Amino acid sequence: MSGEFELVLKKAVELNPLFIIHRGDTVYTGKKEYLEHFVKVVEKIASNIPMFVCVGNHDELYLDESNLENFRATIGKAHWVIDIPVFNFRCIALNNVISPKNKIYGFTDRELNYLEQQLEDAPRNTVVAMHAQPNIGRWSNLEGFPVTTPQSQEFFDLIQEHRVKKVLVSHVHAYDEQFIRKNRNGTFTFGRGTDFVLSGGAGAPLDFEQPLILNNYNFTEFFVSRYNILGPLLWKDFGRPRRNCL
Amino acid sequence: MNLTLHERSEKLLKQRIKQLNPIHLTLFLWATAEVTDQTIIVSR
Repeated sequence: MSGEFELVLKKAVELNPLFIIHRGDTVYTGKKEYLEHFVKVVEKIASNIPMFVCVGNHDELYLDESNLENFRATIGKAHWVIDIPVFNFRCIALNNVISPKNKIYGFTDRELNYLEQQLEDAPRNTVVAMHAQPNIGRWSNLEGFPVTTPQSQEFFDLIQEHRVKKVLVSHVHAYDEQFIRKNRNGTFTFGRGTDFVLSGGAGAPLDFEQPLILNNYNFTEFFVSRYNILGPLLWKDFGRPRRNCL
Repeated sequence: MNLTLHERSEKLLKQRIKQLNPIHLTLFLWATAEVTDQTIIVSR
């Protein structure tokens, strides 16, 4: 965590959102004292704003092993759902980090079964939040999940069949957005389909790979009404931190 | 007993949803019906 995170969080709190979704990598390694420090900073700056966190590879990586015990003890459940019927809104958090040590991302059969259950009676404004982005289009060369595996193909089928409005990802320390549609033959079309929003620069050093749209610290804001979700509205340029956070 | 961040957030969210002002909600819905992002910011 760096001083930039505090600046980003302070700006987000100023907007007084109903809640904040953090899509993972709260710390560099999932050591309990680091995670406790993250929670302490969040509770100090965002004391009145609920925050829900997806599991990132760095949160799970501790002593070179996959370990979610510390995450669960400090941040909480790795799977959560926010349901707000008055807005026809549901946010489903997934864990798509398969092996943080070996940098493998994607969906286990168990994860897909869970997603299918949560999508069964999905309301009009359903979004999915998870850490890693698909290796596709402008993100082909970044470290994400391959889209050709049967599990990934099923993931796209599920979100399309249930008309998921947005898929929110992070992992890469930058901002970008792609509309992605999976075709019946397994190929993909860009510029239409599901809105994938990548917003991952909120503290750690930025990524400068081309051709990402924006290499800057950022977060995104969404406006949810009963009928639709508007956004992302991109926020950036938060100034320079006076000190390092940790 | 110390709550996890998610437990604390769940309690907070339930409180905040209860406190949502129905009048503001109506205005918000009206404002977001067919306008641009820029207008939405102003309307807030």
